Amino acid sequence: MKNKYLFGGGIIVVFMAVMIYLFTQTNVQYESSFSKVMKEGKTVKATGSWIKEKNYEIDISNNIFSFYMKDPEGNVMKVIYHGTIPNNFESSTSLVVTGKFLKGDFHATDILTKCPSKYQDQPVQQTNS
Amino acid sequence: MLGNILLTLALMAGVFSVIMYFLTYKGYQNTLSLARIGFHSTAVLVIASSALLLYAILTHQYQYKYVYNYSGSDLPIGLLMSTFYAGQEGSFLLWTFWTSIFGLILLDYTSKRGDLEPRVMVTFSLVLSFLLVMVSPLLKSPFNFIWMEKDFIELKNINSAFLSLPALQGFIFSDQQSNKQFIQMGKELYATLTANNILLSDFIVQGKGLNPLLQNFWMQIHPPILFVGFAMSAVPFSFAFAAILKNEYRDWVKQAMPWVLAGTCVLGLAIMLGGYWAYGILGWGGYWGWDPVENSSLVPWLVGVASIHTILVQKKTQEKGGGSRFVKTNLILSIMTFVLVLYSTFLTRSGILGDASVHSFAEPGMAVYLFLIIFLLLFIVLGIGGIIYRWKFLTEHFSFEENVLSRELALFTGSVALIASSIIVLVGTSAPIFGTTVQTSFYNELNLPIAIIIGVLNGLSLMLKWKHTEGKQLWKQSQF
Repeated sequence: MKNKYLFGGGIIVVFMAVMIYLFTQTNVQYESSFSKVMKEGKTVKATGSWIKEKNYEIDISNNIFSFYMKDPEGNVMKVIYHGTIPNNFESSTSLVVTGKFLKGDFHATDILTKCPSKYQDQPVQQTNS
Repeated sequence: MLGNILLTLALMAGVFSVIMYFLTYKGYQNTLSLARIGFHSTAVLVIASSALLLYAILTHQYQYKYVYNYSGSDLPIGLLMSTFYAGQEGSFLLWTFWTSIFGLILLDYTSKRGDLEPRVMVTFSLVLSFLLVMVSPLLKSPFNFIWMEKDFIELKNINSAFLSLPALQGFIFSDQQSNKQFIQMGKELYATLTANNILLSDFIVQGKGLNPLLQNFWMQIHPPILFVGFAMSAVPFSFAFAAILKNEYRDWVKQAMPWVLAGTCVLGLAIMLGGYWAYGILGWGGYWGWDPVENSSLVPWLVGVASIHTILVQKKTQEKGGGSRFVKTNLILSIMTFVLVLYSTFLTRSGILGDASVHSFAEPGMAVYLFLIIFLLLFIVLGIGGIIYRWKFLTEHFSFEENVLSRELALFTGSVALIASSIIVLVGTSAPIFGTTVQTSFYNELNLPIAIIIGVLNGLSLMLKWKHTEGKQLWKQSQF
């Protein structure tokens, strides 16, 4: 019984210790407040939505896609992503961008778009026959 | 209507068979045949319901909300059939379907082995009953009609011949943002249509269609195989619990081994097929993206593979009347494989991972969330509680020393390495519950040393003998 616990327990203890350490090193918080994101400047997953009115820009030669995002408080942030515009970007209801705030812009390494799963809002007009 | 009736009857038959099997286990005389009738009825009703759903999909019966939401009239037949499991309701029904099929085989298998059948089937029918609650009209039935809740259907999906009817004009809206026209579906529209003798299946002529990302050959293969793996994971749990019920631990590993092997192989195959599929799709992270849904099927598989090796040791050490090694380990691992499958279901279906995964199903609502928690907690209490209850007996009768240079210990250490990996993946995957995520480097950096350890142990365990190996002989053998 003792050997089993020695070997087995040893592996578990060692790996759990390393795991806890690496967890603190690699964890990325979800952040919905841009004022925090802009102040702290560390890698986060910022959640918010695309500001349609400010449109977006695609720079093909440098492979840069940039747009503006806002958070629930109304803070605005420019997001720069080194990659292609996601397929369903224009119809997205909210976004999760991974990256950090540097020199006035948010540099994203990843964009996750969330789209409406069901038509939810009440439309305004009725059609006339 | 018929579908919901069949599923409700199946649930009732399922609960009936649980009770009958429990009474049989307790020693009542006439309940075994009743239990068998109950289980067979459950299985037949589930098969009938599944056939009905498939039929509704193939004949484009859009009066069913599920058929409207996930299928379309212009899909090729293979993909059309795969829409069966494209959404929550259908995928749970598929899991229920496989559980019923394997339950029938399990029933036959256990009936030929002494008093095994009631002890195993009581648990297995309980699992089946819980799954049936999930697909019942109360929760997530695929047979709910489209008019039962208010919804908006795009006019392009409606038969244009009916659109000019005066009675319908009050239901038509247009949306300024998207410039699309909709009709408001609900009880009122349904009443109006019925009053005008219009069948819903004639009225709605096109569905929302299958998500374009899923219109792929692998959609027809990967999910069904994955759900076989999930369905079979309940078998080792049932065998382990049967052993706990009888307080006898020698036979169950021999009886369960074919099932553990088959189930783990199928689950592993399904996971690898998923990786092969992901490799072909841009944005899915290559073969393996450490996505929460991918991870949550990996964790039970790792534990299942670990259990295969420790069960092998128990079987070997029991030969020729020897003592049984790793009895507690095998009970724990078999229980945990199924518990982790339930946990993975909870993680991926409750909406709790909302932001974190490309696999996210839509928000299922509070009732489903609570039910999944109850499902998970109940089986944790049964499984782990059972082990705790028998712990004193187990430690008194099954405590042995393993020699350092023995195959037993090498296999055990390998299993522990796999378990360490499963804990790591579990922790990383569950992090979003606490509002944080880990980067993929977390998984990669921790699993690499584990892979090395397993590699070393693989080679070593081939040279080590059972029980004891001479140090000198081992050293000689490991030279080139």
